[in-house]
Amino acid sequence: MTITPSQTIGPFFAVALGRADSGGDIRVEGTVYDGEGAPVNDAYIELWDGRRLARCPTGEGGRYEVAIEQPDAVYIDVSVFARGLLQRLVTRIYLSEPDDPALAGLFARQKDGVLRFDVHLQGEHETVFLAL
Amino acid sequence: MATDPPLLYPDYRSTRLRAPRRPLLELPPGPVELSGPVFGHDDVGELDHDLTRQHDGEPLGERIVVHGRVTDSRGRPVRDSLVEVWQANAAGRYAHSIDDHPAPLDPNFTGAGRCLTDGEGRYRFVTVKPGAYPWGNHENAWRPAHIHFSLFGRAFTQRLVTQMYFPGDPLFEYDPIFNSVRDPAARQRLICEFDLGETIPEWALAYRFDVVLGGTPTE
Repeated sequence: MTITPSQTIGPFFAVALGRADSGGDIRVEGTVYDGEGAPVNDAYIELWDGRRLARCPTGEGGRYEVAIEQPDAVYIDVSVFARGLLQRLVTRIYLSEPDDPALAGLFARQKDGVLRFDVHLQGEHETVFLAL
Repeated sequence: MATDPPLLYPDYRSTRLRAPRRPLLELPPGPVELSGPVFGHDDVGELDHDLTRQHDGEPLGERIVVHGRVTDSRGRPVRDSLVEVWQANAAGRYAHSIDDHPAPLDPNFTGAGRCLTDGEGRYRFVTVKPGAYPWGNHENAWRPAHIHFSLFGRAFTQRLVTQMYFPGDPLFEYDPIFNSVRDPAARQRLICEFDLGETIPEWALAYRFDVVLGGTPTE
């Protein structure tokens, strides 16, 4: 059976897709950058930790921030959607250092209740994106 | 041939600086990815599925029913799953502050809907047919009429955001987003079918759009 292909979320998703914090006191925040290091202010970020969904758009300066509860898993799944992304991009925020060195760049050390996780869509600092 | 479009499709200009250039790292999905958010009827309001009844008056345009079934790649229904849609109004304008297309806004149309699939994976919306609109991708670029769909499925691996198009649109051959799907059979999956059986006489035309989710977790 042919699966339904993905298409871009486009620039107007905020008509329907809003912000949903999952209600804890850990803040996940970061900036989304394109291949020239310019901020991406029309992306949509979703976090899934196996129990709770949190999601929000990026705004001015490409920044996003969302509140979550302390996850049980060792990582949080991240989906990145944006105009210009024909498929969502998937990555992970590791809460402790991953064993696999290929994933080392995805480790985010929690500091004062904040997890900082920037997303570089392309370029020298390109984020490790996953095919699961 | 791959079903999904490539990340880099230069005819769609915005992919050039946004598509990752390194290959994706292949990992087996773990328990986190094999689960997904569960939605209930509390998450959906009574009129959320009817985009023509969310304001005091009725929106302008051609009233339509859009319905279909959500299944996994083995044909099994995806039940109790959240489906979200958004679209331009009948004149081709989104109720979004960054849309500067000089077509009229409709005070009676926001263009956002949501519903849950039923026990057989079926969903149903009532809306108006969206208009085509110009965009800045290339000289005289126009998007074919479309409705954006967001689906969660049952697992993180099944998450899908896509667009539904209408049969016979003359703009198909000029649209790089539609044509980024290189496999013609997969591209066909993005086009709904006119469905006479579901039209409501003297009231609304109907279109059927079935969605097949990939990334089916083994059970």
